[in-house]
Amino acid sequence: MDSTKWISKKVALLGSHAVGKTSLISRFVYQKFSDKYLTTIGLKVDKKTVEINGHRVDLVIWDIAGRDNTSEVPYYYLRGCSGIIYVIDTTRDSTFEKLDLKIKELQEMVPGVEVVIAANKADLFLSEEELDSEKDTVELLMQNAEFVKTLGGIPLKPHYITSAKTGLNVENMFLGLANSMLSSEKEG
Amino acid sequence: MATDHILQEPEKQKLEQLRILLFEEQIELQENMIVKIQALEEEISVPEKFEPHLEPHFEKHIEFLKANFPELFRNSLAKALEEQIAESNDTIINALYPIIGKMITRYIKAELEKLSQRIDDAQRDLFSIQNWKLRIKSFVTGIPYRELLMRDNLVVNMEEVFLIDNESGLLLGHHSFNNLMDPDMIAGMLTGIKGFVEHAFQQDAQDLETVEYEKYKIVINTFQNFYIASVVSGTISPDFKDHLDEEVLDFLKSVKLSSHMEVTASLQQEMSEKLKEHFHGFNQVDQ
Repeated sequence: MDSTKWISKKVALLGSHAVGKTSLISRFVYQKFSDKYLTTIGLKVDKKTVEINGHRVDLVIWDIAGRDNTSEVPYYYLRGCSGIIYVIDTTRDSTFEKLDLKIKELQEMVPGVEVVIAANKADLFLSEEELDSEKDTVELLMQNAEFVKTLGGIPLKPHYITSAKTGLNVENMFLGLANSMLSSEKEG
Repeated sequence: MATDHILQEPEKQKLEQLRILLFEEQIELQENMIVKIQALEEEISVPEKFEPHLEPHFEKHIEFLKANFPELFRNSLAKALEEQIAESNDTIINALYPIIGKMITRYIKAELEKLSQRIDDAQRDLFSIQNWKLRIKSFVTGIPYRELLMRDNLVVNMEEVFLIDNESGLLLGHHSFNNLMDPDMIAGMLTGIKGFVEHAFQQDAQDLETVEYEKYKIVINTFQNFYIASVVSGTISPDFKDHLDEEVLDFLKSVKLSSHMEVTASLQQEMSEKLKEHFHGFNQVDQ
């Protein structure tokens, strides 16, 4: 690779309705969060440039309207994707039912795509006091029996435990995905 | 005993005299009434004689109906019209078409008059720089001065041109005359819309060719691996469209793009430069 590469990558966010896809993008791109739920109609595209190991990556992020089944996602939205973030809502079992099969289906639809799973809305397992405390959020979550039980029930281990509300792991997740996309390109 | 009641002739006469004396007035009245009834019967059976009697009443009622027509018949009329339109759509359209056509003609005429007025105003303003520029242009090109004025008033401009990857919707190159919003986001949204429309009406392998919004039109030329979206403002004439298509095809000769290519900033820069070189003078040449 060139020493200072500047590259564009298409990333799509998928998952059921109201799992927080738009909120994660809003937190990452605009550093904003709103409790108000507005359903995404069709598609919305955003962009953010990140730096990974001296390389610049223009992440062109496609926020695709929520669907429970991956087979319902139109292929014309997914083609040319380098990365997919599959978002689940940790408070709703239905959003991670058959997750392993859904991810497999996505990888078949878009060969070579990097897929990360985001277990979102983790903040809902913590009290306001816990959220306000100086303690590490992930540590607090791992001490929460209910959250640990939920996590154990997810068919495929999530790559990131996130909260669009607090910003937990949001930046890490997008940077991690950008890094994986660059690495897979290097390997390819 | 019955013979007691049989009246003799002289008695009969006396009795008749008595009856006449007693009922004379009533008999006269009865006879008059019979005459009047006969006259009335005759008047009723002959329309010419009967009409003058009814006319004043009819006129009064017609005046009343005229004054209260909307209130009395609004609902019935609306219902009747609705039924009529539903039953004989074509007849109604055929009846309305000439009227609407006339209205459109009148509107176009008014707009042309305004345009003519603007041209006259421009001609009157003899000492303006714009006017002299047009006169020189007319002299050099041989195009009549008034035609140049007309073109000047029917401006159509290219605002932006995008070169976009068909597969991913990633921007490959872009040239803007006015710098609107982020071109990467526009490229993505356009590809999403294009994909949706083409998928929704997938009867044949057809491509979305234009998107219109208010005074802007996005003209799309789709090729194997990429597509070119030109954002144009104003009214596009067939000549303008032909000229744009020619320019796009001409541009293709200068680029070589393969499928699944890596979209780097250097590629975007190179393509943007080429778009700039190719389309920068487009508006001036076209006008």
